[in-house]
Amino acid sequence: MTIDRVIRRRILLGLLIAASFGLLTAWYREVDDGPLHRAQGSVADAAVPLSAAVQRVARPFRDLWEWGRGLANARDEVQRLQKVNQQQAVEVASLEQQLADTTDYRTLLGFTRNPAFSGRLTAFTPRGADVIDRPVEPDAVRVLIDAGSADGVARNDAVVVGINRDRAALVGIVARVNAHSSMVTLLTSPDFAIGASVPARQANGIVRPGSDPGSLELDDVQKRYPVQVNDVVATSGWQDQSLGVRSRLPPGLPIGVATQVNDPGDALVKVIQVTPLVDLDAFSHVLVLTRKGPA
Amino acid sequence: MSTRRIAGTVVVLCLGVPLAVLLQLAVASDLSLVAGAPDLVLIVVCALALARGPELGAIAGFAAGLGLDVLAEHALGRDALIYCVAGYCLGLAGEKLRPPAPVRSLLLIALATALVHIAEGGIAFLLGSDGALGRAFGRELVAVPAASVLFAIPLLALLRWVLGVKAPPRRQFPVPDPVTETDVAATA
Repeated sequence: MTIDRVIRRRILLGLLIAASFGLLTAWYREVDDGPLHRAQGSVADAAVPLSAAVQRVARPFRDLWEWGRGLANARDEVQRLQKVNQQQAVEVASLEQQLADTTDYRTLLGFTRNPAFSGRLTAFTPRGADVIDRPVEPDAVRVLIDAGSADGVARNDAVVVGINRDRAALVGIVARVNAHSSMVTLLTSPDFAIGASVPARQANGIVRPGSDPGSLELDDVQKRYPVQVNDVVATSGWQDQSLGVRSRLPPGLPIGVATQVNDPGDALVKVIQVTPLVDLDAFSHVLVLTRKGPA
Repeated sequence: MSTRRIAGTVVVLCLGVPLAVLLQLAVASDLSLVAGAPDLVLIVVCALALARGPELGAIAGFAAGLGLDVLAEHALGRDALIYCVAGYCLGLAGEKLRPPAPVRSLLLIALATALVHIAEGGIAFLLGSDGALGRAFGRELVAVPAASVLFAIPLLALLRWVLGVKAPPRRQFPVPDPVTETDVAATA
């Protein structure tokens, strides 16, 4: 490349830069209706039809571009909304759990405040607890709750669940106590047996697990007691004054309802099929009835 | 210079540059990607500068910038100055890289677009627009070059064809001569 050419192109660049600065300076120094402003306005006006024509020609391409961009945005929007949906589903599940917990707590609190029922529990202090572990298989016979000896829970304490605002029903008894947790044996456990009665008929017997999974039987009921279907079976809460021993369970605590009365002619006692009042696979909040005084 | 090349230069200078200015003002703002619209004018100036050198690059840049200044009705000479210097520098870069491969041209367009964007913000700041410099260094600094490169891929190929620019020859790697049978026998 010759030196002349280099100089020539630099001179050209210098002239163009000088022209630019000259235009800038002149444009800023003149008044709004100066010759440069007027010329600029005239050219811009003259170019309006041309600009409109370009816009008209370019319109299909611009629409195509906008359509493509809208499509891309729609996909992004769908992904964003899916994420929002997932988050909200988690929040809804959490809120539903809170609502269920609140309902359970209200039910539990309701029956403890009901004098007709809680009047029988004057010797007991109800301790609230949550089920923290439950075997995954159906008809599980033990659950773990988050209250232990540190909360005053003792072995053989009754564990109840609120049925409604007026009543609670027995679901099991405390089988093993740790400092901050306890193992509860449910009514349907094979090794479960407690003294029970049908208060409406003055009949006593022993509640044991039935032959069908999840069912109970009230056994050893004297034939002379006319127990009927739908009679409520409750704890007997026996005590022996002479020996100075008594059950850790309060009397009159509902267990279930009689669904079938078997009265074989050659037997000395009746066997009554009992259905628990509480779904033993579904509860998650319980009250442990701890004794106020020494056992 | 052949007639074909002269005709190509005239077509781009007289038709391509005004059309780019009109499209830039009428359409380009609607073609924005994320946050930046492509700089169609700079793509045309870049194609001309890379193909024909800094003189034509500077002239095309000045003309295109002046066209933008007039039609957009802002300070006369502002874009003329920026695009003139950009065209000159791109022309010099084109001479260094001659014949410029398409990928290098695209990289030059990205760099030039970013620098032009900063220069526009800087001049606007000097002329009294307080937020201009901050906007120039915002996310547009990445979005505008990206959009320009995207549009430059087909546009640059078209302009190179109009200007008669041939693709650079593929780099040849030396291939060793095959060993002849006699050499093998001699080695044995």
